[in-house]
Amino acid sequence: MAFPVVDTEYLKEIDKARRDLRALIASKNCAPIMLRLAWHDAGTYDVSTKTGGPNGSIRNEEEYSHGANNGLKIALEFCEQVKAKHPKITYADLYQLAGVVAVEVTGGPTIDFVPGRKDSNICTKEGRLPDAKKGGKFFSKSAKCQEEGYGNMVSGGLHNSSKLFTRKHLLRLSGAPHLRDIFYRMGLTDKDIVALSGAHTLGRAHPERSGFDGPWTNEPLKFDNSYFVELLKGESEGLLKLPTDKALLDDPAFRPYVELYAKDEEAFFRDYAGSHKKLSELGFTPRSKLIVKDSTVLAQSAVGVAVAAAVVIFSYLYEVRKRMK
Amino acid sequence: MAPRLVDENYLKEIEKARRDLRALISSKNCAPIMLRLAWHDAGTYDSKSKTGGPDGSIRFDQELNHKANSGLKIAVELCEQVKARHPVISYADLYQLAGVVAVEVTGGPTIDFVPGRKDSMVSPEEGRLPDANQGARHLRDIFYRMGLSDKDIVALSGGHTLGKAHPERSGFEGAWTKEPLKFDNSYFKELLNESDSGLLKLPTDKALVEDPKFRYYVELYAKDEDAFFRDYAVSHKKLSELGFISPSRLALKVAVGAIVASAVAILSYYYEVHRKFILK
Repeated sequence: MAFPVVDTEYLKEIDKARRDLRALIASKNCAPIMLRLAWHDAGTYDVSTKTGGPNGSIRNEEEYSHGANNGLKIALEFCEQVKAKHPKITYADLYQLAGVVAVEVTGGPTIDFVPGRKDSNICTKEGRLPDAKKGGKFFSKSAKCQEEGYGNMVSGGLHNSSKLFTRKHLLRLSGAPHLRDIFYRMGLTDKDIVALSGAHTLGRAHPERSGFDGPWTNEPLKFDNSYFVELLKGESEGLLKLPTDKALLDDPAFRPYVELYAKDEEAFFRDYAGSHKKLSELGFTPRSKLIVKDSTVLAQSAVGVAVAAAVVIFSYLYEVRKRMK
Repeated sequence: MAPRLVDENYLKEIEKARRDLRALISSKNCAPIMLRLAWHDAGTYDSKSKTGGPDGSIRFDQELNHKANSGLKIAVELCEQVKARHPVISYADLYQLAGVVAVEVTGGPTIDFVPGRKDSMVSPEEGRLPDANQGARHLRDIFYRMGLSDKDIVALSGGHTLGKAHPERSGFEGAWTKEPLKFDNSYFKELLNESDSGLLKLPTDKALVEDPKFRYYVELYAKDEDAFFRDYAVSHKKLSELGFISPSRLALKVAVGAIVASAVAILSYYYEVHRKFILK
């Protein structure tokens, strides 16, 4: 499939679709599942093979029937309503726009959106998205240690039980390797991992979908830094913490970000907006320069003409003066 | 109504309140009643006496108990949640910001919002808002008094694209359009649709179709949603700023005044000097 031509008409359709999405997402209270759709379309990216990424491939049954995508058919159907009114827009752009609007209408930061993604029907193999259960691969072995002394260790009391826990052992216990495998493969960083995890401020897990149950925060339709506040609080009645969520606390590189975002919502919003934009543009070169093609090319041409004219004039005058002497 | 201090902190709080309002209005699906609150606070303006207008006075029981404001207590209470988190913002600004956000999250146009309205402790007398049972003449009486035009009347009536009437509030019942939580030009399309669709048409709505000057705009907006959005955004902004001079606009006026005055002074001086030399 070819790249869409992002002309004035396409941009107008994007704006109309944005408004339609606001109305749809606000009235149906479906911001969480729309955000998950955008993330799961984008999160299949592999930076070394340049495959996967935000290309609309998730609309194919082959991909939406992956275990990790359980329940997303609902979001696909909502988006179809908008696509029907604005057929010009690519599915890839539509899903990412839905993700951006989902964050906006729930009170989150404004995320810069650049259109122009092309659609693909090539689905990547299952397994590229994170597995929520993989936070504590070695937890069962050392669950006891985790409760008793591990907490102390992470917060600085390493001298207490340093004999038992080498650095390598520590990293294994933290369960962070899986998250890093997945996100580094996309070309994202530790900061991105923590900031993006903050999106669990929205929504809930469903037993019939992921197998887990419940919201992470007390206001699952409000985008704020509660996810991090709750994470640091520890166990809370009725609130969910996946193994992959807990892994953020246990890892010494992730934890500083959790603490920062828990106490500074502005910092979280700023970093989240940056990371979300990155994710939504994996493998996509925003041709924003092309969008303003008309005016910049015109300006460049004008400068070129002016310089050429100046050179011609000066050369002529130089020749004239030379002849006169 | 003199503007209040709008410094960097105030602007930051406005942005945070805007985000809180988006979350609140989306999750509670209460865009229609928030829009009505903003309109009913602003719509009491009298351009002759410069009383009423968007000044937060609607939060007092004295005004909430006006018949026209039946049911609005809910909206005032919802806004209290946001005010509690951002106490520095005036109620006047908060209610108008809520109106702007209500239009935005339901898919409507982006309306320019300028903060700085001051709160008033004085409520206007009852009777300044339109009576749904009346006709075109009444609409003009009410809106011209505010300083608004025929175009504003029709465009703003398009706000009925959202929400529904309640028997225990206005006495009327039902929604004007098939999607009462979606801001679009359906209101005008339905108005021109003569068949009985089961949707609500107030006497004041029908007046827009019967009056030739109003009808022109109804037909325009029914066939051109972009035109409706454009005019609505302007009329809504006007309404939300009745009697309000934003600090930047005031500063501009003062600057222009100073320049004009000094220009007059300088020119008069040179004129006098010139005259003295010529006469000599």
